[in-house]
Amino acid sequence: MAAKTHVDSSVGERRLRPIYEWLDNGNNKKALQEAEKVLKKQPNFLCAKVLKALALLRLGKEEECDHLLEAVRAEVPADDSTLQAMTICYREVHRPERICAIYEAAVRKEPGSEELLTHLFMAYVRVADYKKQQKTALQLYKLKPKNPYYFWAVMSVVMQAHKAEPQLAQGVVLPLAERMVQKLVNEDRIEAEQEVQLYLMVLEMQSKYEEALRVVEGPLGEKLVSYVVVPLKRASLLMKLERWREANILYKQLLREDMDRWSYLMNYLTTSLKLFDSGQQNGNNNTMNNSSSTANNNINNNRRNSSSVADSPHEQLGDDANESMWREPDSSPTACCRFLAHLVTTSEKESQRRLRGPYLAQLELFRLLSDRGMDAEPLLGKPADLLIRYVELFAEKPCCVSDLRRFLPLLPESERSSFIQKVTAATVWDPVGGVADLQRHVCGLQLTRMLGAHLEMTETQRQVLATELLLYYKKSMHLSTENLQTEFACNDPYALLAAHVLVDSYLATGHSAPLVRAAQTLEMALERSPSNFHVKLLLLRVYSVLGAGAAADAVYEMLDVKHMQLDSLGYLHCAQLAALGQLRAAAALYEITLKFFTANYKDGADHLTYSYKFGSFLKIMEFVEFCERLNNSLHYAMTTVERMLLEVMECPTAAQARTALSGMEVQPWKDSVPWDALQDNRDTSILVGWEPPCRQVTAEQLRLSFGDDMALLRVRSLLLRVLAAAAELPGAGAAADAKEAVLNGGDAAPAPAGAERAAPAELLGALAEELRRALEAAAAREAPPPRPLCSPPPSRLHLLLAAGTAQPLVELAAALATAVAGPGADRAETERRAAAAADGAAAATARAAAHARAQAEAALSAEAGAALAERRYALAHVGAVAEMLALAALLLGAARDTLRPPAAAATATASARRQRRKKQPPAGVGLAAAAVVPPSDGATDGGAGAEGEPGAGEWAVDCVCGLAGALHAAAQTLDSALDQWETAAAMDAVAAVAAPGDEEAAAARLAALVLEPGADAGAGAAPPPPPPPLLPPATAVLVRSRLADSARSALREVRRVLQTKAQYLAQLRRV
Amino acid sequence: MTTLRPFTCNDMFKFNNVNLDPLTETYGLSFYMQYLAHWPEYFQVAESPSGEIMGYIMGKAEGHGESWHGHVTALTVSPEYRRLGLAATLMAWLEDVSEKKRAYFVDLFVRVSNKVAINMYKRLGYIVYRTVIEYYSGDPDEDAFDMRKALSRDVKKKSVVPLTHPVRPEDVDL
Repeated sequence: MAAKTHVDSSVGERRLRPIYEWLDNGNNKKALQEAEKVLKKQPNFLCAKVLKALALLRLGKEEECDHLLEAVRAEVPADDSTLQAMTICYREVHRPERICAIYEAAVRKEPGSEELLTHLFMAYVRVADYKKQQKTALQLYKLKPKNPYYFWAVMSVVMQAHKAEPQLAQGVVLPLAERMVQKLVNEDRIEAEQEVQLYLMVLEMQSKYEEALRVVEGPLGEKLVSYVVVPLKRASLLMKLERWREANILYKQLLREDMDRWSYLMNYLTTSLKLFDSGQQNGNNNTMNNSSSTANNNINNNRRNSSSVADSPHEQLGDDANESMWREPDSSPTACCRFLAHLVTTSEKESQRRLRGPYLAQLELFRLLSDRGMDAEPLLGKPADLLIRYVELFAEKPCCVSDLRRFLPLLPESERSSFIQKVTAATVWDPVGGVADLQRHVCGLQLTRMLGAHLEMTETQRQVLATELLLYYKKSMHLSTENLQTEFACNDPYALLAAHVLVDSYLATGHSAPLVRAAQTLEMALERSPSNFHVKLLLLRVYSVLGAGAAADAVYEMLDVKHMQLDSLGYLHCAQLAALGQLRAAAALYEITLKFFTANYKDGADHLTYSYKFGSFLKIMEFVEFCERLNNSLHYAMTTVERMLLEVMECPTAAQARTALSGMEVQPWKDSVPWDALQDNRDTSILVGWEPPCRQVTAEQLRLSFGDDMALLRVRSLLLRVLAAAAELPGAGAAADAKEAVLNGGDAAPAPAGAERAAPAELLGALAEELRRALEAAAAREAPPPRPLCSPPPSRLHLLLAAGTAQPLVELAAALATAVAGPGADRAETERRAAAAADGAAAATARAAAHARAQAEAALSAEAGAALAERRYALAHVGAVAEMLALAALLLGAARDTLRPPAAAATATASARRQRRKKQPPAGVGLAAAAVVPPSDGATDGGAGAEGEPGAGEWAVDCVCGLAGALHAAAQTLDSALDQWETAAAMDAVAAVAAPGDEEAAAARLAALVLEPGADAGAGAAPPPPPPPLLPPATAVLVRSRLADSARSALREVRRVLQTKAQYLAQLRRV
Repeated sequence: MTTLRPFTCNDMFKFNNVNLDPLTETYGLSFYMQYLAHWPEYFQVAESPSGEIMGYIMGKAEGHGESWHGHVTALTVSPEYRRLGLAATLMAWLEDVSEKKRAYFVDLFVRVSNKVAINMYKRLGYIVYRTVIEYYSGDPDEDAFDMRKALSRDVKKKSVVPLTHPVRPEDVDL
């Protein structure tokens, strides 16, 4: 029997190969044909069946695939290739639990198979079933007593502890894991380094640091071969045990090897101060400890010496003293100070390059002492002097400013301005200097900005400063000519600083002109330094603020954001794109982003299985947490919802929206957002602006903006569910209903079969109410004031709320929910809410149209600048209204299909209604509300209709038609305003190319204000020639046409949506 | 000055300061996680005092017999933190780990055009062992230098006798 299977499998393997190949090449049709061919010869070839199922699945025939798989499953396959192929299928349909089931069955069939058990273990890893993991690993170990299996079991226990209540974890689960390892230790059967690592982890999770230390220091510690950091592990355990003295000495020894290792320096200081604290106590109880404590003696020694040391920290030490310097613990600030001074002198002598660590550690010591309320000045000198010394030594390193950032708060307010002067004096501009001189100058400029030197400037001063910075940029151009394209140009920082100063101007005045100049400056720098991502990031932000979504998108493309970065950096662009009307680009970005997240969802478990395979136990918990962090990313949840909303919005009719929604598997009764677990994965540190502390982004601001986004997500996901609920209203065709029934099969839909007509309407009403409350809660959140561009962009929430487009949708949904409620529908309530919806929609549209007209007028006048600052709001407003009208049309369509299924629509009543409509044409948006409420005689009509079956809901149909008329009028009003704007924008784009920006003339005038070194000194008779333009005219043209083009493309896209829906509304209005 | 510590998954949320640089590739998640799962000790990050990522190194150990060696898969330093000797610190770590693993040598691939990197590796004691033709795909494809440095186990320095002829990527025995 066994031999036969073997022959079969080798023949089979040959036959299967082409199927695999087609599948690998993505040719699923061919794979299907090939599989069918094989099955003709061998109808019971299980693996061929599964591969056929896989091909079907990939061809979108999920149901057929499912049937086939079930048939195979019933036969309980136990051969590897069949099971592997099934595994692939189940992974692709996100059913990892079925993988467990098939291997469980296979193991029951062949309990002695190590391979099957291993697969079963990994299947449990995929679904994070730690208890079954443990059981299976022990089964494996029983079968084949190999250490890895045993430790898989131990790790499975540790994971149970990770997820258990702390008390249970500490009291029961972890001790069990420890005992399990202990058993092997006692039997001297520990083999691999990873096993020791796991042992240490178990001990540390229980805070058993003594035991852990004994392991590290004992024979097992020798197994930690790849653990280059064994001494570090020891040191960290000593710290956890609060054995400060030993830890302190150990860190000193580590520092002797590497004086520049910041973690050593920090831990050295921490342990010293801890010793100092305990020393103080000892000192108070001198009589008790005097004789025994050597540590105490040291402290006393140090104290005695303190004054002399403080006076001359650089004194020469004899060899003995030198040696003891490395071996004795330091237990006072004085001793620390002396040791750090020793590090400075030693590193100066021994190191090839000057080390920053020891110098910076002195500042750190100062900071630590100040934080404890101690006066560090007698020991270390004035902070200003320490800082200036650091600047003098390291200003030519680009990282100097980052190094000092955390120590600038040490400066007393009173010394700030004199310090700024000192920095400026230490970092003067050298017209004939090299790159190092340039870097020093840049460092000074960045530092002084960070110290607030640019805060209290007048507008003229800012303009002069920006121009001055541009001059430096130009004057140092020659230094960057030999720069590789892949490196930052050394003079880029001037352009970046100039752009930031210009942004300051914008923030102070609200005028867009400086912002446009900032964009020009950055475009200029980018052309010469295409790899500088700081330039790109700032330019991206500037274009966003200017409302130029397409231009921002072009810059974003240059950043080549991908994979992980889609999550961590997506916040800079994703929401902005949609808000600025770049719908196509937004859709593309949503697509890529979601692909990343879903791939992670699928692959995440793979990495866990690898970790078990390779015994990297330390990484398993980390992987689990990481995958959760990604899966719970707010950006993920938001993108998911936004993509679906966009896709639905673009559907031309309610029927198509219904199909789209069922394809997305949106379940209106289910809130699928993991609200309590949502994660803020934004990397907000990537934007640098050398802002003073008062303008840096704070944790509180981040928390608030995250909260804003949560509120936005609540509103948007409810809106989506409202649409899905409307789509579930019966009547849009039997075919769609049947499909839905299949899709939702198995899930607990609350709507029982008998109550089909009422339940979706109730759900719609309930969701509308929930959305109303979510909007109320969101409206209570305060919009943040404008912030520097190194802060993350504000949430889109406030733009949407300001547009006032969500409230009318709430009213509309509520109106429709009552309208379709059947014979007992509340007519008065329906009409009241319908009127509110129409009024709200009309008002929002009127505001958006006014915005659009203002933009159109401005684009044609010389005052373009003022309107440009508003463009972002105008576009966001217009986009929100277009979305509102589009979604409203779809809601109306769904209600119409319910009240009057398309097939039955062409009844005699239609013509009668058309006549009535003619009497009261929707004159304009302002009158829209009037159009909704049918005349009083109509009301009695409808009321009478509700009595007899054929006329039931007649008034409801009227109501829908009335609303459609009102919204249609609104859509046309807006579209004509957008038409004006688009025409004006086109002319603006032409003008941009014809005439370079006026800003250039202004810049030239300002440039004359700034005296270059020696420019006025050579006071000859002839006036100096006019300075060349600071920003190339071509750049001005480029930026202006980018701005105009962005506006045009956004308008085109918004109008496309608007016009499609206007057509649909016109159709709904007439039925 | 630096803090060297093992690279963790969460570092991927904030390595943009390093990875936005056009010469540093941002790979798919699986790539990083495969290294973290298999060779966690070879994946180290250099962190600044303020917790910023200054650079990182990822590598692995592979090969049989006398070609058991450490391999540098990626080494990168953020523009702001260049010319501070960080790459040397990270390389020293990888060499240390490889020594502990009793590897015979450490090797790496580098674009022949990347003069800055090649010179740095030479300063760190690496030699050009061979040229790999069209190793980097692109437009046009680019050759790679396979650079090596012998470790103490390779007493006779057999691993660093340069090949006289270039090889094709498919002939690179890893």
